[in-house]
Formats: sequence, C-alpha cells, structure tokens
Amino acid sequence: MQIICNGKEQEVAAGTTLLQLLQQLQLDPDTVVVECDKKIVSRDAYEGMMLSAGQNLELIRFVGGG
Amino acid sequence: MRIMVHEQEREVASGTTLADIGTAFPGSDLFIVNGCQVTAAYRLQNGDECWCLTKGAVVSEEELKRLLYLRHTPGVQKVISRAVVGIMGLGGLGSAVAGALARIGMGRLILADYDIVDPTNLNRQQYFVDQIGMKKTDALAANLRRMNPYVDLTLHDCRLTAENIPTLFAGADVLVECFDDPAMKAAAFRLALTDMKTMGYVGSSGVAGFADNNLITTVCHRPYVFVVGDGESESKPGQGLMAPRVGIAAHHQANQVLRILLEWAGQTDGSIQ
Repeated sequence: MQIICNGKEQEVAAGTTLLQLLQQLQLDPDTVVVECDKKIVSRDAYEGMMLSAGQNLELIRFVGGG
Repeated sequence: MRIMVHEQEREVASGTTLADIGTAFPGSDLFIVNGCQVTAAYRLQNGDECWCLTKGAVVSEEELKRLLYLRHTPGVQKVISRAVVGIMGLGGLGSAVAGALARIGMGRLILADYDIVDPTNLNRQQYFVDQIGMKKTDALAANLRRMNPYVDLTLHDCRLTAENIPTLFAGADVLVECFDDPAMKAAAFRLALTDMKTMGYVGSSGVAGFADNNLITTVCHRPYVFVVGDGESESKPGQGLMAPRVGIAAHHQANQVLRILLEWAGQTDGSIQ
C-alpha cells in the first residue's frame, strides 16, 4: 500500500506499524516527532499504530548537540 | 523644533547640532540619537531623542538602567522588559541565548539545567574556569547578573522531562529548547505542538562541527514555532560542538525570540512567518 511520507509517496507493506516504518528508515524513534494527517502522534503510540493506505505522515527528526 | 535631551523636552532652532547641545554636558564624547551612535556634527531633526554621554563614566543605578537599553529603538524596550522567556538546557546554546536576552533586558528568564560546569564545557559554553564544579544554573545566574543586574531570574536545578516542562515553564511567553539530547529535543517539540500551543517556541537541531555558516537556518514549522540549525550536523565522534557554530545557532534562537515578541506587540513588518 502507499502512504505519503514528508510529501513523497512511499510503498509500505500492509500491517506495518509506525515504529517499524521508522526502523526501516533507520531513524531512532525517540528522536522523531510524527504528525499523521495533521495530528501529532504521542511517542507511546508508535508501537501500536498500524499504518493505513493514503495516510499523510510528516516526520521531523532531531539530531543531538547543544 | 522640539527634541528630547536626556528625556527632557527642549525647543531648539533648526540647524542645531549635537555639539551645540553637548556644551551643557561637559566632557561628553559619546552621542546617541534614537538608539544609534552619531558624531557631534549630527544635525538634529524634529522629534529626535538624544543623549550626550561621557565614555566609561561611572553612573548611578538609575542612570545605568536607562543607559543599558539606550541603543534599542524606542518602543522595543517596553515589549522586552515585560516578556518572560524559558530556556531549557544551559549548555552551548542555552548559556549564549541567556546572555543575549539578559543583555537586552528581557523581563524574566526561566533557566533550567541539572548539570554542573565541567572543563569540557568551556570550549563553547558561557562559563569560566573558576566556575568548574558549580551548578550551571548558579554559575549562569552569576554571569548574567554581571551583564545586567536588573534581569529577573527563575532557576530550576533539575532534569527536565516531558512531564515537568509545562509546570516549570508556566507563564513563559516563549520557550527556547537548548537540549543536547535529541530525544528531549523531540519530546519538547511535541509538547510545543500539543500541550503548550499558546507559547512561542524556538527549538534546535544540527549545530555541531564547523560546516558552512549559512546552512544554519531558522525554519518555521507552525505559527510561532521554529527550529534553528542545519538539521543534519549532529554531535558525534569527529564532529564536536564548538563555540563558533553553536554560537551562530544560539543567536539565531535569541533573535527569533525577540522577533516573536515584537511581532506579537505589532512592532515588526509581519514577515516573521
């Protein structure tokens, strides 16, 4: 199925969770803020959130240092 | 025409220069008109606010209070002196942001960090060798008070979490995220977009190393929610945090705080977003 991730279409397997997507993208889930269809997803929900076709994800990643 | 001399209204003839006014202030060698330094030859115009000062002179507390902000455009200071800004993390970013905001006379700063000053901090953080071992909150407060004794400081010597941030920074107009840990950066940004929507927010990501200055940008994510940095340069082996680039980012953050506050007060051209 297809979702939109940071403005680009992306193919993901049915049954993929948000956490699995972030792992596939090699992103540390703790450092990424996720907006799904204009709603901020709480960090606790990453593991249980099943992705569905047509969803629009914005991933905002933070890198360390300050 | 009418001008202001040291906040007193005065009627002067057209063509009057600052040198003419300066004769009433023996020894004056530093001339400020409308927040900007000018020479004695400056020809005054109607409505000018001018000061004739002596460089390096010791002044009273009352006068110091006025002189600290003399370089600010009239009107701007009112906004700054009433504002409350929270700074999360007092490392390379936070200590520099706090310095910039204290110097311009921010009304109140809420400063939080759990750590102590360590020798490896000094390559970029605004502390001194004789402060090694001090709590960062106490050391920074001491330094800020030397820059500007009139800034109201609230200190929190504790580890910040997503749970305690809304309470500890309640009442802040703008929150500045200066964490080192990327998970805390993300957690705070999430708060800014959910539980703390009424505050302005200036986060950070990608400030390490010595890559191109101009890759550091201030990106707007939502109205009054910004992130400063290049988004890529993380602190890691081979790419450490250094005063120059961290300082660029910190001052992006401090200026963005100022822009948010002035925009809310109707003092900017509205181009902030």
